[in-house]
Amino acid sequence: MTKQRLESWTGVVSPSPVETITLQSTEENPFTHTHASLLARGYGSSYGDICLPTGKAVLCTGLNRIRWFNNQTGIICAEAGVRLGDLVAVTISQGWTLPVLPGTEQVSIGGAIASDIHGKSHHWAGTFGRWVRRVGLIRSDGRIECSPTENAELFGATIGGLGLTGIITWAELQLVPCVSPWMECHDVPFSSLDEYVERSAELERSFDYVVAWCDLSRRGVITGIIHASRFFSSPSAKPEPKRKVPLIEHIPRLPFRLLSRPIVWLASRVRHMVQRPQRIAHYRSVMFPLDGLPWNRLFGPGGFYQLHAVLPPAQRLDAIAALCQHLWQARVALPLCVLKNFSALRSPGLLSFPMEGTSIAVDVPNTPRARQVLETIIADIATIGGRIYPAKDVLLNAEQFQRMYPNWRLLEHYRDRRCSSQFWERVTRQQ
Amino acid sequence: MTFSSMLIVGATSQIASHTAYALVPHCRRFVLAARNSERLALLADDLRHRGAEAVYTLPYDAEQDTDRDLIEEACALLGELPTVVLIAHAVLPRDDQAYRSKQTTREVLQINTSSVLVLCATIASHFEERGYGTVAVISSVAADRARRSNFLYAATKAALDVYLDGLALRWQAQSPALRVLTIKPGFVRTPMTAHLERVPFSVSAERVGRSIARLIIHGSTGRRYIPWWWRPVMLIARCLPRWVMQRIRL
Repeated sequence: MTKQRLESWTGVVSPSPVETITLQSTEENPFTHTHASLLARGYGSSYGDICLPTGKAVLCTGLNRIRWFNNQTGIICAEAGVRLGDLVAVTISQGWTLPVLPGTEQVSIGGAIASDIHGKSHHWAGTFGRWVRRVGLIRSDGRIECSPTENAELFGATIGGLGLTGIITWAELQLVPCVSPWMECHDVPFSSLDEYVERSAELERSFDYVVAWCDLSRRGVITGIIHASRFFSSPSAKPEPKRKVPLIEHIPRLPFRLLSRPIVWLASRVRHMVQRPQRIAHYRSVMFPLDGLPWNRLFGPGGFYQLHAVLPPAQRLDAIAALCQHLWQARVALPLCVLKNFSALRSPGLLSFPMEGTSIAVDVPNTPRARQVLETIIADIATIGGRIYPAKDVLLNAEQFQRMYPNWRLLEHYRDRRCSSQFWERVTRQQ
Repeated sequence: MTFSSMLIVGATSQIASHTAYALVPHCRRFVLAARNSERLALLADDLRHRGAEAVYTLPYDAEQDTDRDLIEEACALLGELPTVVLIAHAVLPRDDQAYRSKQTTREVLQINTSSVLVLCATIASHFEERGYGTVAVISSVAADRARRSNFLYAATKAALDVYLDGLALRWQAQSPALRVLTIKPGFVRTPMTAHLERVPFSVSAERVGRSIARLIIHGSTGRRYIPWWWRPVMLIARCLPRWVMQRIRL
């Protein structure tokens, strides 16, 4: 076993080299080999330090088998290391898809459960955890299965449980029917936040997948495009496009920040110009736009933060406007800002991030000034009752986290004593 | 190209299982052979749910089962000779002192070389009789130039390279439908290499699996490097004089 520094997708690096245990089958129990604390790891797609262990990492990408799939009921049982993109590629040809898909296909099932991820379909599907029927866990005291009816408390703690309730080895998921892999997509521009709220509510009534790109490249002006899409309800004869294999897997970080303000300004202008009111596209290009570019490498040596917050419905417009004002003060390029409405659908998870309101995600280059600005923004969000997404966070302090997630003590109760992460140490330390 | 059936020896290795996943849309029936029968059964179920029409399993231990004719057994299961045979099993000695152990040397030689050549011999006789078929064997870039570490492994793989080159020459003269594919992956992150220091430019088993699937579908022959840039790299490595190899500690 060798030690190496582990990294999150945005480039948050573990403070010291970490030993990795590779799991090959769900029958192995890594807790018996070692006395260190463990943390399951998949494809390293989370943005913050929730994927960095305090002891050893347990690599679950070898658990990539589909155990069974019933194409009559749409229930699939797969091991935790199966990537969501691979799962959908298998099931969509048999008429089923996952109701909740994130912006990248490089997420494992285990990671999707541990962060209780959400997608463009939150207005009808809620979070990923709502579609999980059963989960298999390895805990330091043995194997355990949980579902909404069996070991229900542990199930609730595992959904959005940041991988701390044990190592997720397999899960049973409910899929939704989907006849065609092709989607009908509409682009609807908006020129103010009020217009966004109005238009997006309208679109959510007729489209299954709604998300908005927001242009922050001009100071003081918030414009953007709402992308609304739905699967075709009749099968199509159009051939499936090939899945691309990346030329180089580990693209080195650029030595400079490509995404500077003039470039982002220009790209935003182009993006406004090339929008098409209506088009037909394959689900992969609609659902996984982030996989098209080595996004995380374009920010240069400093890397970037993603501020991903949900704001309660009453204050959301003022809060988003104030947040943008703060960000503009940092004088950095803001290449990506995504808006999405969350419905009141509740997740079974104790520490689930989505709540009713509007979520905003902004990529902010890592500069000292930007960090200061982000710290004030996070403090503001905490006071108005908003939440920050743990999977994308590196800046929350213990007090803010505990205020946003009052259920954290319950998770601490169900946490396996031999599971921990850098994130959990940070946000629970001072108590 | 789609083909009717395939035999994979060492199927539970990560590279082989990813190759099988990528070949599901192109191949109807699979015979999987490997040592660990539990993992073999899991993989077979997995392939069925991914859309394979039929999947059969054969428990096979390359170290012990020296007298078995896997091709005959696969043929009995399928009712025909498999169109493609992929041989993917290998061991990498963990210990740097392995070359001093009689037992390890014998074991590595048996698994990496002898068992593969014996398999190739039966494949050759069956395929030549039938007139078509592809045999794909996973070798390694390590076989191209000896280094001071792991040269035992490199030697076992180099034997495969030479044998397969010869077989390819012979088959090319016979029929274009008889194909030999020598797959030479670079450093792949798999359980076999998990104990080694991670090198830059390593690739995932998934990517190698997909590339192998593509080569098989396209009917490629000869030595193929994965990723392709290992070919110029190894060309340079082969040309380096020995005093340079003495100085670089690899």
